[in-house]
Amino acid sequence: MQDAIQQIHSGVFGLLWPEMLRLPTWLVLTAGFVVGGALVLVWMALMALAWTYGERRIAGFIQVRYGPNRVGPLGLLQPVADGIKCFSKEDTVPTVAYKFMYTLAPLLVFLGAMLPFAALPFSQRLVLADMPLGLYYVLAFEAIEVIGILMAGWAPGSKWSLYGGMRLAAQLLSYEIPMGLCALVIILLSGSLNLGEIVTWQSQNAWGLEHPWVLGWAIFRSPVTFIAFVIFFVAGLAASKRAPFDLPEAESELVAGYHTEYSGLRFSFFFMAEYTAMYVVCALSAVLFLGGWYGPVPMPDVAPDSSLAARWVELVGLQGLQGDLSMMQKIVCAGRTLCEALFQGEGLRILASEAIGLFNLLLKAFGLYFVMIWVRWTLPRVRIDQVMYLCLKVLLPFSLVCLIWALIQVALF
Amino acid sequence: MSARTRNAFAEYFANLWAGIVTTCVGMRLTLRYFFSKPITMLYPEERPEVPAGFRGLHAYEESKCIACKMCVAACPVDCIAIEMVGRGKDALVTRYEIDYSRCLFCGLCVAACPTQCLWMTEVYDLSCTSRQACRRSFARAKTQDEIAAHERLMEQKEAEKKAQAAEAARKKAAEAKPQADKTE
Amino acid sequence: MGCAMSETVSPTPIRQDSLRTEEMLINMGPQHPSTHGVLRLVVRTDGEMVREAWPHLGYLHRCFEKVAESVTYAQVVPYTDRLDYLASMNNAQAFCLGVEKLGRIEVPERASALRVMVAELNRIASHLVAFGSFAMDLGAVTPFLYAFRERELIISILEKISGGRLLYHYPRIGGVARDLTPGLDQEIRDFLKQMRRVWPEYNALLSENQIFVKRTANVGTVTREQAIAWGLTGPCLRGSGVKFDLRKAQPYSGYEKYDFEIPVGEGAKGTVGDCWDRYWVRMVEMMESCRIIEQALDGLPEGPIQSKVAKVLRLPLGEVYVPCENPRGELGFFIVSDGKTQALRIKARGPSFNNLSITHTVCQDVLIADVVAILGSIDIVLGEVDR
Repeated sequence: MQDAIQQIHSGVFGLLWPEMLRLPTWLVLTAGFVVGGALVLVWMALMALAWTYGERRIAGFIQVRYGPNRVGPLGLLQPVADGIKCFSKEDTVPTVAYKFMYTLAPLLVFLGAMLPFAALPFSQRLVLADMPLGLYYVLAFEAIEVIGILMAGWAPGSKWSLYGGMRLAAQLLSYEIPMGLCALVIILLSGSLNLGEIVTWQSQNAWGLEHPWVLGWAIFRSPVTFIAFVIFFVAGLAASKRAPFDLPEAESELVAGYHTEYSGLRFSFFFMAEYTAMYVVCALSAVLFLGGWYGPVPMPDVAPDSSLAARWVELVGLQGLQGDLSMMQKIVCAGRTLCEALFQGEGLRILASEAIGLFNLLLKAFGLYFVMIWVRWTLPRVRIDQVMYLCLKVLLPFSLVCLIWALIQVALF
Repeated sequence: MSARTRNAFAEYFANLWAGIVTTCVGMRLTLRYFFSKPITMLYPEERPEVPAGFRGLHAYEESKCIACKMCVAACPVDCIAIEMVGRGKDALVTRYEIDYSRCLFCGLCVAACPTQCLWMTEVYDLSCTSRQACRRSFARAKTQDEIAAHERLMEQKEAEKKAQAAEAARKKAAEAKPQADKTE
Repeated sequence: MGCAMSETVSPTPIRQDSLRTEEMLINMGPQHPSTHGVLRLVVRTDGEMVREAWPHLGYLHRCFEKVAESVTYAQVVPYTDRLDYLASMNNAQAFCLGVEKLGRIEVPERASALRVMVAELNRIASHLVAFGSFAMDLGAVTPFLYAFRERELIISILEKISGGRLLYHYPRIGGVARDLTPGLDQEIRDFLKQMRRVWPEYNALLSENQIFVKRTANVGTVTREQAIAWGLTGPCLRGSGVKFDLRKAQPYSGYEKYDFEIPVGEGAKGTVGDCWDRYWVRMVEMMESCRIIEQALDGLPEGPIQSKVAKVLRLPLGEVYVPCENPRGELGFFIVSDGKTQALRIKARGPSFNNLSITHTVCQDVLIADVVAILGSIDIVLGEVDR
């Protein structure tokens, strides 16, 4: 499967630019990675911004009131106002704090939320790095958050922060087990750890149909996968510290838990990391269980290994870009062939397929996001011992049962 | 399986089922409210309809005030300050101030007033930016000339009254004398 | 080796405190999102377990009793509003009843019926706040907003009756301040209909919710004997299974004429006297208050609303204590008069003060989250605790 990095490498930068600009390949590759990382950051920022607004609006309507509706039309500039407020706050560091850990903690949490994006797909070809162990990578790197939060609990030297950090460590680590087990169910049934292949598996051969459409989704393939989905989602709620499992930041009990002593920019790191982690869980659930980008809106038929980059290179090659053309002429030629590649024939179909795939995935991910918000504003908070009870005595046994069923199913069918 | 284990199992599954069902019921309710119209009043564009009889900012009719100071006596927190020249119906109120940083809005002053010169309006927005502004004056400020003139008027009336009283006393004495003469 | 064995080296003794695990002394409040006002709770914890919790009071002390010695009886009534500011009608009624008993002042029947009606309306409003803030403490923010939607209806009604929205100054010595305006009867009935419609919704959202039940059932259990020994009153007492309500035991203002039930905690979700029971008693009381209001409206007698009382009241020598059933418990004013226009001494027995005393006994070997649940279920108002 051609992912973004491969396309960048093989097509655009790898062949064209070194030819055009005489740049070494490694430099161009690094530039590609940096651009990819920047795109991820931009996406994270947009997500956090949009969903702070979205959550407050949804919460408002659930509570028969308006959410923010004063800053800008329909209150859409509220996140901008929040951002300005956060950035302009005084950066206080408690005198008894361990300065290095205090500074490092929000960065680690942010990192833990950002890293899974490398393997998380947005559509069939819109993925930064299509790793064979993509799912494993995502689940593993989400765990970096735990270290960050433990540090955030200890570093400020405040009792309230310590409570939050301790609670959270227990909660997060425990809930990764059911998450992993339910992901394992899908891995068994689909036969791959690669997220793209998992979605492809969901788009074929279910219920006796070649193109099963919605029925091909994992949740409809087996009663066990539906339960696994629910368990995965609940565990994801707990792993992203959302209500009803928001003990670490339980306002009414601990003032603000592990981020009591953080304000301004440092706090906004935690904030963004939380909303991003929520998105990662939602997107992962959508990819694993709800068919990813293969969704309600049908996509045009495109061969899986046709790539835009290859087409572009082909067209450029036909023009013959080497030689004594001036820089300007080279750029114009490249641009023209790019447009040709994108908007004609096969390229157009690829473009449409990607756009629809993206729409499908976002539809599901944001739908699950809405469910997360909906659940938060309905249910009370669960006590820490009950959180652990739920994980170890309810979710874990059921996910083990699901796993065993999946094993039997794979072995026998 | 012993009875206790059976009970434990039953309780476990009953709790789990109850958890799922009650969560779904609660979520259905909140979803219904999500699609209903909010009840918030968009203040300050929309204002609440304040009913008549609301105990808000005072209103004072200086012409009816007889400066009897019943309101001052009735107030539990001593927030009314009156200064006047003269007494009774002829009094000139030079200062009538209510300190809204102390006022309880209880309405005892209104009930105590014998001439109904003080009542409470429906104005509820009394925000101000200084303690000084909390003390609101209701009587028109009088100039020194007015005060002096009124003082003179009071003295004049006092003198008139004394003269009248002296006249009445003399008349009475004069009437009593012929009576005394008659009886004798 | 060559070590000098002439000196005996005694091993370092292991000290008792070097093995001790650290206990933390945590301060909850006075500024804290869930202590219902300016209450300071000092909590000694061992990890997540709370070993002891002491409430520290006095942050809202406003010298009510001292002030009441230097103002006339009619001027004390607005001060009583501010004790339990969520149940203003009930406070004033308690005080006026005390003064009326000592001064042998007759209250007209219409005034008594109006007092009952507004007191029960205020009871519903107060219990709605208790319900909403209890839910909010436990993390469910939404029921608070729903409760305040109903409370807004009550406040509007009481605003039309008395002219104020929270502090009404409506029950006066000898009667009530104003009569019902036309149209208010219908508004009250509409509210009752709305209240009866949404009460099952509150139960569906919160009371039956498994997470809420698990947070409150078997938590903070106060036994019958403990409740009586510590002087608890109101829903705290009835939640522990003691069927005692001053409106039935020592009726005032004509409560004997009305037909209503006294809800008692039965341990429906856990043990008798746990947080859920106290909460449930308040919920059922809301419905019972609706019944009382309906009966009061239906049978409102005609007549004056205020009896003739001297402009500046002078009470005869003596002392009196008339307890009333406030939403939070027994509120009573012990009035000592020496024949002057101002009382010699007024002592206010605030129910929340006595209810709060159970905190220390109950908050032993519980989790911090339980302390929050216990405080919320006792339902204190600091105005009453500190006076």
